[in-house]
Amino acid sequence: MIVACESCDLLHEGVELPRGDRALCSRCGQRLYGSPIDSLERTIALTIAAGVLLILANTFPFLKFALGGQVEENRILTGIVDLYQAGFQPLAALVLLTTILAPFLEIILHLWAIVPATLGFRFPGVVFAARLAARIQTWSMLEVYLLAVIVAVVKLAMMATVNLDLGAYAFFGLIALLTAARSALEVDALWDRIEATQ
Amino acid sequence: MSEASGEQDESGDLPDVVVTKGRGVSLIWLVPIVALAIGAYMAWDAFENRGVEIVITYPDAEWLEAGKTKIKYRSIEVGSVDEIHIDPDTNGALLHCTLDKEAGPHLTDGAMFWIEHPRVGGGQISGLGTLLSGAFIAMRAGDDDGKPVRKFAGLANPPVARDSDGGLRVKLHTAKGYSLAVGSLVYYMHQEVGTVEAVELAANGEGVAVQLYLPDEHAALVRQDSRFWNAGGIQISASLGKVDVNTQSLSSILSGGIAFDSPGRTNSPAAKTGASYWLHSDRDDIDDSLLRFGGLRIIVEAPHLGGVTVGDAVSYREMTVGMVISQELMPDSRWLRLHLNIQNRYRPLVRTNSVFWNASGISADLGLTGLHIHAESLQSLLSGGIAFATPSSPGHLVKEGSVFRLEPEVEDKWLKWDPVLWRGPPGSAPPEVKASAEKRKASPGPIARFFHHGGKSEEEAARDAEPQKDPSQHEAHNKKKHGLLSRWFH
Amino acid sequence: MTASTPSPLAEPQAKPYAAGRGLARCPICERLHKVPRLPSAGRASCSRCGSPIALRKTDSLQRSWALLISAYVLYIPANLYPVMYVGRLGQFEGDTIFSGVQSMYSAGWWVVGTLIFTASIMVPLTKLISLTYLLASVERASHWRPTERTRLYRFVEVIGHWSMLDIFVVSITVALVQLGAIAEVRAGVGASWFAAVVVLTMLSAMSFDPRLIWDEAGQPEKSEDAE
Repeated sequence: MIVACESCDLLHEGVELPRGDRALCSRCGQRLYGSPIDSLERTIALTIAAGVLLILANTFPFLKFALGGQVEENRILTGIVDLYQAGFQPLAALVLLTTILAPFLEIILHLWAIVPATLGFRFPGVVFAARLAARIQTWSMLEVYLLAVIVAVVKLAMMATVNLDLGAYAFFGLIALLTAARSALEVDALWDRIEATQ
Repeated sequence: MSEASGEQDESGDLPDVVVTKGRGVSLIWLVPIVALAIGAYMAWDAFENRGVEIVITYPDAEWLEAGKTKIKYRSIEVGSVDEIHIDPDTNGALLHCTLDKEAGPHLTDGAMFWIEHPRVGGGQISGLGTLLSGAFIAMRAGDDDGKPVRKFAGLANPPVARDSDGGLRVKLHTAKGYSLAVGSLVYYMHQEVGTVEAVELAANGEGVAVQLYLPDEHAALVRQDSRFWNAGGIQISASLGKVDVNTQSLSSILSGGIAFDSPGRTNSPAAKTGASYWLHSDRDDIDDSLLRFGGLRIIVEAPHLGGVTVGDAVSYREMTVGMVISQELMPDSRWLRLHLNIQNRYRPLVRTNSVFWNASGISADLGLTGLHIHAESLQSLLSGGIAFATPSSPGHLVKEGSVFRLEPEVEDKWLKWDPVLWRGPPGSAPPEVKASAEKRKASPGPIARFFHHGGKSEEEAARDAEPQKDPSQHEAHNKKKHGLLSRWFH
Repeated sequence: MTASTPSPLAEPQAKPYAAGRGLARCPICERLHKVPRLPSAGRASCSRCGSPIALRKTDSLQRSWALLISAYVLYIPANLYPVMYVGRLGQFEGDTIFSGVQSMYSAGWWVVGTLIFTASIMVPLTKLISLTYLLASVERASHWRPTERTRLYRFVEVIGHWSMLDIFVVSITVALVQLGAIAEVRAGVGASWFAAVVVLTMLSAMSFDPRLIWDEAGQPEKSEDAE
């Protein structure tokens, strides 16, 4: 294949690279491309880290709210459960989907698909997992939730003491890592590998 | 994308890329490793600091909400109620609670749990704060070295205060129970200053013993010469066209109460824990006749009252020996006269050269200043009365009606005076004491006397029984002296 | 039927756009396929990933319109009913989206108020209006500035999920402010309607095939005509 250097514009004849190797411009040394496996590997690493943080963000308390001696802690799930119990089941389901389920599925399904593809062995459901993972990304709205947390904290900080807890910090990390994982993923590199192994 | 390039034919003269070997393992793997490390640490930390689970049983779960109701130890939140189940054995409620790890050592024998919720009636109004914040379970620590307990029976009512809480405890003795209950209030000048901790049959089988508890900030109000009376309910007394309706507070109407005063104020030493007193049936029953009547009548003069009021004690060396029984304004409006009555047996203390001073440190007129009196001002209510001292070389005895000047404040040298006012074994009356033929009210029974005067029964009995000698031979002598001295004082 | 992988340069003089050559890009795995003409009930799936593939999104206009109209209908109760109730000492006060923004402005909270205003009022309205315009423009085979319209579509897609902001704020606040009589927050039906509007507009945008803009504006006949 033909590639052009983004720094000096020199055209090159490219070759497929084994894992770990990088192709550099012969003239100016700019990195031209890496092996597709590398990008997948990066994606896996970031996705695993995001998964860990997702668990942490949901297990530990998110915000602490104290007024007049009363303290309320909550996790992301607390609001969902409260809405459900108050009779707002569809609303609760929607919030559950967009803040917990979608990111969770995205992470799990991506790992399910990418790991076997990268390691080069056949695994059931890989194709389905990869397709579903791609579709479900639209429903993952963590950044909006982040902004909502900021808005809620600002509003409530006026009347009471509001503290961010471990869950919130894990949440920030989760968003950063998930974004990084998405941009690390090269979709057709993935599908090439899937095709090769199926 | 596997698209064929349109310039395939020309690709032959393009340079090849330079391939560099990369590492075996990419650095990117640090990210999940760090994430896992953080996660593992947090999990371990949560495990280490996991709370202690206990079960509290209650007949019913009123005021309690699973997942919400908090448990507090000395106002610090230490846990909460997780789940409420029905106890299959008792059909009561089983509260499954988790407490912070730090509370663990206190969960031993003797630890108690009760529900703080609004309570009205039965001598108390409390827990109103929980209307806003929600009811909670309060906890008292168990014995430090007791064995750990994880199942507790909740108390229906808060336990009584313990020694470790400080404060003063005194015992009152009385013939009747006066509808006093644990939790009834103790009043000083119509302010709540303490509670009844226990009511039980007296050890000697005669009458009832009442134990009072006053917290630290009010403990100093009780002095050795304090008198206690039953002040519950409404006391109506009628006399000569005037009807007095007297009540300490609404609460006392409902549940009884005890009031007390301390006539000697700070001139009388503070009471110690365990001190015993007699509980009079009402204020009138308090026999201060000895202080009020039938003693030596003298007069002190002052330009202002200076905080001294009728009923204040007159004290000698911090001992109440008499009382201010009336006050009057002199015709020239420049002086006030206070009439004092000095108990008979203390007559010899007053000599022609005795000095009287105003013992209240505060010039403000004391009185009820409203509903919210803090500890500080309660203390200020204590200072009052008149004290006197007699020089080390005492003058002659004084006659009835002698007039003295009331000094505005004490001078240190007076306190150093150390006269010998009579010789003889303790309890013997001084030889020159002349008794006037006074009528006395029937003295209280032996038990009352014992507790009324703080344990001087033998002395008292001896003095009271001592025959009074005829004072007539000294009267002429005193008259002359009195005249000179009176002139000097005016 | 499986679409076969084409060689795109088989007909060098062919129209330069995919559909013109009977090609379609798989939305999931990004591969180009040759997609034959299908009977109306037929489906083609991608050779690589098996996802359904078609020249254009199925029934794009129909679905988009239906979802959009439903969104309009639900937009009314979404703004009429309160989204959140705040109770102090037993007294509950409800806030609709508008009244919530209003009270924030009157309390001087410009930043937060504007944020909510943007996310809960501006964004949904923009989406509704933009989608209506886009659909109408395609229906009328408008030629007007297709690039800008495409950009508008991408814009609508991106801002779409940000209108969930208020819903999340309600969820968080409800969970946090449960202090008995002192303060208690509950959700209101308005929140459900509003969430429905957000979802419907999202689905409507997802159903709309932006390539239709270019189809109707006139795809170029020859490669030299392409911009």
